[in-house]
Amino acid sequence: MILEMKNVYKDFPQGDFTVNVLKHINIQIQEGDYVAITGPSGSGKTTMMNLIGCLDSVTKGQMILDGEDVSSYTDNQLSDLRLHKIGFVFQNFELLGQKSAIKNVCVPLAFAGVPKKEQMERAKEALERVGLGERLDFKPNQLSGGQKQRVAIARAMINRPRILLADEPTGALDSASGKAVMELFQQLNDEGTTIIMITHDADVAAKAKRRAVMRDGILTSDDETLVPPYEGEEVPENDQ
Amino acid sequence: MRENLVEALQEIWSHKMRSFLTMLGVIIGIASIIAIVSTIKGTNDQIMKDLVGKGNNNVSISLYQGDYEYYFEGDTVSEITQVTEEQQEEIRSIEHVEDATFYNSRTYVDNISAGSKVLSGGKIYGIDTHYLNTCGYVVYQGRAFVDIDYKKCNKVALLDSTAADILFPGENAVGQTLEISGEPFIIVGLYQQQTAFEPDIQNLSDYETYYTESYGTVLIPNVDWAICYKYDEPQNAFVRADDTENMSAIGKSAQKIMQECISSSGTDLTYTAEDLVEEAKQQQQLSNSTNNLLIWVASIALLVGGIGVMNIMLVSVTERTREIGLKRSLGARRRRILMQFLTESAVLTSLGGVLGVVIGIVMAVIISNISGTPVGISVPAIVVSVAFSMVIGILFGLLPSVKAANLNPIDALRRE
Repeated sequence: MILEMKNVYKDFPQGDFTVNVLKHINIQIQEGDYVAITGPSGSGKTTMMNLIGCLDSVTKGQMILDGEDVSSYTDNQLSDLRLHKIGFVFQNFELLGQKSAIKNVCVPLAFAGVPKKEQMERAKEALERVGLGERLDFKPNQLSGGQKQRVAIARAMINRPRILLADEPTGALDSASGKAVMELFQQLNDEGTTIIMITHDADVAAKAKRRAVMRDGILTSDDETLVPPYEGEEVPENDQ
Repeated sequence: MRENLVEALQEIWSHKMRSFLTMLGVIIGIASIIAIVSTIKGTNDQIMKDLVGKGNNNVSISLYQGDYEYYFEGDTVSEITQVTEEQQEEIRSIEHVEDATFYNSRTYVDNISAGSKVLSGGKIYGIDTHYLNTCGYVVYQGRAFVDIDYKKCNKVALLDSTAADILFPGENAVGQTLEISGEPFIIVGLYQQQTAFEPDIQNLSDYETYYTESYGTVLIPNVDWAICYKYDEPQNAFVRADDTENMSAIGKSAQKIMQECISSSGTDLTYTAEDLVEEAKQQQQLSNSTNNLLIWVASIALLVGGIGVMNIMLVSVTERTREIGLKRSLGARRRRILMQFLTESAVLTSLGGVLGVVIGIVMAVIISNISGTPVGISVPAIVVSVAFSMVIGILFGLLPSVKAANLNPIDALRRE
């Protein structure tokens, strides 16, 4: 198992009261899974992604990533997890504008302390894999949306993460580019990469092997592994 | 670190105008400080040169009565004996002493003549064998005094060219005879300053010290002094140091040894070393304290520059919030973000410092050309200035950098 969330809660204090954004989340994701987390706005998808991406920590419950309980990890430990075990793909690509495609892909390698020469070799290889071998030195403003997202995917995959985490990966793309990106995801998954994708788009979600639907901070359905409440535990009422 | 440096330079370059304007405070501050320091150093060097004289590290030790130099009028002085050979050798063996000479002298003499010509207002010295070497003289015609002149009290004399011209106009003086207090002396040679010895003449006092040839000078062996002036008078001394810096210490040591010649019972006679270095230092201190005030004023410009840097760095952090969020989500630790912004701030102010140094030197040269004060470029001042501007960058960059490092990656990524 690559990821397990056990009875996870996430609260955000807001003034005098607390907003319970995630409640009683139980999910298990196996290595090689391709999961789409869907749901309407405000259902807690993004908070879920932040937790899975180790950008935030749980208020209550346990999160086990690659066999490690990361629920109470320090900021530095979470940074290291993001660096080595998680690859992020964002809706708006989030490339560094002043850096070329290959330099953007090098960024996580630099954080990992990989020598400069090896950085360039590995980044070149990664860009060739996503079909951008001819665009290594192009700046983001010289690339199309689809190409930018492919650079972002190459960057996400560069440190060989255990999970590729994508937030609306086709949200800013035209349908042709979106399709190409989804094909790339499929290809990565076929090669064994675990993919967790957050999306509104039912067509995009349909490409995943497994869909989890969120509503009001609760995981309402997971067409493969609906984890029942733990024994003796009450499922909270929807109070959001 | 290298990555941070490259990124910092790229960031500075991508906002050239803004970076330059940010640096301006630091540039002005450092340029002012460098200009002031260069002028101070130039002035101080000049003071040292004016007073001490380039290439001449002689300390003069003379007999004083009260506040005035003792003037011999042909009387014996019972409270004082001559400086002995042993004492002379002791002085020559003081560390950093190159040579020392002990002499008797009279100025404004009127007892030297040749035929109808009188050397009025001239000088006469009774010298030992070290005099020419210590004072940088060389015999250019005839010969110097030799041991036998001293052993046999030969009545021989050396003249400078002025004295030769006054006493023997149009003639070769060597071999001729002159009279000192009625005693005949044979002129054996003519002497002059060595060409390598070039004291800087900056004022009348220098001129009197080094170029009094307009009145003419006569040298005789010190053993003949009593023949002309009745008594073996106590000597004065010139002690040559190997370096200007050592003059004060040597002067004090030699003065102490010579002081032993004066009996301690109720006399106001003293041997006093003319401490030109100390005098120069006092003058330098005066110029330093005035200019230190100016440095404080210039430091205010640096402080303002630092605040400008902090302001712009805060703007930069706000502008680049998404970039910070992205880097954090890609696995950058807080420390890395902190270092990135600190490096940028330090590079910015260091560049300002370097530019400031260059402009400061140019300013100093311009000031020097206008006001006539010399420029002394101080390498330590340059190094300290650049280092100091870097420290300003680090200090004033700290707050924005900590702010950047502490950004929550989720909020940072969400920021538009």
